[in-house]
Amino acid sequence: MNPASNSIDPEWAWAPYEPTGAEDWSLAHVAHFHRRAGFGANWQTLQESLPLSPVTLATQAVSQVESAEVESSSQALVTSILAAGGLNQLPAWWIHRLLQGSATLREKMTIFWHGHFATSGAKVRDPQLLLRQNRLLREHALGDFAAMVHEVSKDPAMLMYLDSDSNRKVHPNENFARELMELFTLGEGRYSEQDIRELARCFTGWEVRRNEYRFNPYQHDDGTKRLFDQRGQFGGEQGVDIVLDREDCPRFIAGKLVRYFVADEGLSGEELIEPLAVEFRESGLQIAPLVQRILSSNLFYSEHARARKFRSPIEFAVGFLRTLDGSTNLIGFSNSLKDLGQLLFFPPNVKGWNGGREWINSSTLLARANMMHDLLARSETRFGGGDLQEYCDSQGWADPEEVVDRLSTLLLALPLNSEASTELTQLLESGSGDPEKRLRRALALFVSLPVYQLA
Amino acid sequence: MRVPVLAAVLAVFCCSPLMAEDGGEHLLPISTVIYAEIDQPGDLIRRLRDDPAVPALVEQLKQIPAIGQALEEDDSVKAREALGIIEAQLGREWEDVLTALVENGVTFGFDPLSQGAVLILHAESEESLNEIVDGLVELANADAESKGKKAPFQEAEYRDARVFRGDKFAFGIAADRLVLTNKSELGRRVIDAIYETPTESLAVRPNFQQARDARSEESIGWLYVDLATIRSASPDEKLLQGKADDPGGEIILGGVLEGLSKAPYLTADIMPGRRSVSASFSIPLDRSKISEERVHYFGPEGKGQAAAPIHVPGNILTISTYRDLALMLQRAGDLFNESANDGLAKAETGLSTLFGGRSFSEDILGAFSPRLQLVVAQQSYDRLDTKPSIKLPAFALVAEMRDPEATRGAFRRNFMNAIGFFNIVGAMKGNPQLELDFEDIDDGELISTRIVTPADKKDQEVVPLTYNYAPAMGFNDQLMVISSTGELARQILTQVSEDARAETSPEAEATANTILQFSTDGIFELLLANREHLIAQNMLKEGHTRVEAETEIDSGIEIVKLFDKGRLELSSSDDTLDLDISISWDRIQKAE
Repeated sequence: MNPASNSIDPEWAWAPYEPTGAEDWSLAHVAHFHRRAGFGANWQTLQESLPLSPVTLATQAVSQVESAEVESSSQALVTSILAAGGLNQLPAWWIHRLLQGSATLREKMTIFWHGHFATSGAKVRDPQLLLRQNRLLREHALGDFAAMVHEVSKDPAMLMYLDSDSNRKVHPNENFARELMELFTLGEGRYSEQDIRELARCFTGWEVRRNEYRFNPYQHDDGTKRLFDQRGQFGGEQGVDIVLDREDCPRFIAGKLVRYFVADEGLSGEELIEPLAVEFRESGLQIAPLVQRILSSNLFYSEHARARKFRSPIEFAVGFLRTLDGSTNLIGFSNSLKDLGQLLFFPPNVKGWNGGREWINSSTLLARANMMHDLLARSETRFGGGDLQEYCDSQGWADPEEVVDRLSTLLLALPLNSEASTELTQLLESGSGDPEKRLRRALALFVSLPVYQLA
Repeated sequence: MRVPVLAAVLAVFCCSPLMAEDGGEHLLPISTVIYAEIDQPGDLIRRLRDDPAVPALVEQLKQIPAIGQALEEDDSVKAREALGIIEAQLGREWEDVLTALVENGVTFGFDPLSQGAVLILHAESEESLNEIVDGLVELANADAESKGKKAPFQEAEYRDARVFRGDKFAFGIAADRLVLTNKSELGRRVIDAIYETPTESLAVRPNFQQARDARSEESIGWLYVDLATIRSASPDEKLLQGKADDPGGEIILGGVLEGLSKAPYLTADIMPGRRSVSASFSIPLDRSKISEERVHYFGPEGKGQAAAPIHVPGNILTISTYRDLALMLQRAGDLFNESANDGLAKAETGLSTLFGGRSFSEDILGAFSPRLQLVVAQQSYDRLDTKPSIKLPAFALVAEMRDPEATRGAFRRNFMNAIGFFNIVGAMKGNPQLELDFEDIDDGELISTRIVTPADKKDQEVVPLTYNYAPAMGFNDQLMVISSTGELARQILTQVSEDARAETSPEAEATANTILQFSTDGIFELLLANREHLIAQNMLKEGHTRVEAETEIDSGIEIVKLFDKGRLELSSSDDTLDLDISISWDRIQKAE
């Protein structure tokens, strides 16, 4: 059923996954979907998802809308943070959405676009501008890619981050033009230096004044530009359209989404991506159908995908809390993600987070273990609003063996080996001291296992 | 012959520890370092039972969301059921049981040699004590049996005492005293002392005796802490080493730390009032031996006194203190570590630039007397067309100029320069601008500012903190007021003029080194105005849901509402350093 990785048939790969028996559609498959399309799911959600088909699951995910309750509490947090000028509390605000929200795929896509259109609070110190960009990305996360690029091009935070808040005709700023093609739409090597210079001329007159975009006609170069194979007196909007119209654009975005949702490595062949790129272009660069196709495909549920991604720090930490209905001090929690290499609103550079294998090294691995140890030692860390022991009891996980078994299903992409399973069960059974502390220690050990680093 | 025999009998009875009516110090080892006693808890419980305000308080407490919620939880219901079972078993209400157990006093001690803590309850009688303990032990045994567990306590005898040993602690009945301890060795030592006067006990320690002699007659509870022993046993304990190592800590605690580093012991008296409670902490401190380094804190010969605290409408907090900041900075080399001194040097350079090249520590701070006040009060936002989303109280620093004629003009110019500077920086950042205004107030003058909201920011959804500040500077005779709002500066100047006209202020004779007084009215209003922000921050910092956060914040606000005002006073006499703290809750009475 699953071909070798070096010869994946594109037609098979993107065809809808249609399980034929219980072995093809189990809690493990459902958990895999929720880990990739969101940040994991609790036991109840897994049970509710199991009767649904892969296509239904993906279709529901792309059409989810956030509840009014979450939107309202999220807005209250925003007001408080902005009133206090708390740039450093923005990551905690987003973590709150990730933990409480129901539109998890939209949030996951917003994180994807946040890394794609990277803008950092380290340079843009105004939390209001960063939030405005964040809203923009969330609004278009599963919408029209072209519309998103157009809006990002005029986003004050983006222009300030790329030093393009002032662009005069006598000295066109090439920075934004370069990043628009290299990082946002086409990919490296898909344009020439001439294209950069000409596109930069299109953007002359684009400015940010008092934190708002404005067009200054006196600084716009209205001469003829030669961009790729087109010639004309293009303005910035037309320049963006010409770039979006390039064939490399859907290929670049589709390839990046496949790496984000399916596997970090080994799936970059153009032939494999081509059917998605064609579909993306034909849909008018609509993101939702593309993502829906990927998340319901044979490839997504195949061995080429399962446990073929390294958990990002957000997936590692938020996934842990979400899966076990956890809550904690969000400010401390989000700050600890910095040591793991992924502080939201603070991507490392214009390229965003590289991800994949780079998430894991000896330093971040140790930081992950320490983070989980600290998280579980905190009194504010609760599960289902109470103790971990109470939470396990409320789920009906009666004995240590069952606890370890359920945790494996919920949290792991691969089955737990018998040695680790026995060790954890024994730790729960025979350890001394407070049962709650013992359970938390065992859980800290569980999520420090190498297998938990894989999604 | 009869007289000597009677005298001998009386002497035996009077000397017998079983008859002793004083505190429990005779029962505790000489090595005890922490000793606390409550003299007549029975009377206190009866007073509380008879006080009509207590039911009102209980009702108010039940209205507090967190408490109301806790009372409905399973654990709370079970606890009430258990209390009912205890009452049924003993045939008395729990308040009676408690009163009977502690009627003649409660003593607590901690002995570092055995690492043991002991609690001694002096019951109303041996008979009732045995009856209560038997009833409770019987219940505990029955509960354990019903759960298939072994009996929680093993009964034994030690001398004439009945001793009960559990896993984590033990207790014993010796005559009419119940002794509870975590260390058997200490428990035996106390029981021995109950039956036989020890030759050595805490009571014979000279320091303890000296502290005991100074105990207030009005206090119902008393605490003694042997600082000298704790210091020698914990040389790394920073609190007792006399150094704050940073200017903020030095200003607040410098003198107290010096006292703690030298004093042999600390005592505290607890005194209840009708609707208040106060605690007086005291350490021996010879005023004539205060170090040169701390003259800035206590004043020459230790006699530096704070001014009478200013009270304005909407007052939240006033701190009036004696601190010679100029002198403190001159002594910085002796007081602070290298890093703190580096920081001070940098600050000095920056501030000196702001003040036209004059030395901040010598020329600016030196221009003021050490009598300083910080006044914090509610502010009204009526003057603003744009109100800040987070509402902060106004605050003002009130200082006395040594030579008003020479310095007033310079400070006025510096203030106007600073406003100009803020306007330039603010304009670059899109912040609101400040307009200057000048007015005469009684015998003084006020230079205030008004916030001018930029036209494009009048409808902003979230208004930043900066809208809380419209700085002002005022002068009245020797006083200089620098305030975060003109409104507060105006109130202070008016109040000062009124006090001067009245000539006698009720607190004009304040003799304390530092006085802090607060009113919860203002705090309550402030918390209420920022409720949404507090809920949001609680959600972020505690990970609470909105409902949980609302419960916690609303409970905190309701608890603040129960209290009325509080006062803290630090003062020194020729041979002691005293800290008096009091808090009142008049509002409960009003709710009756």
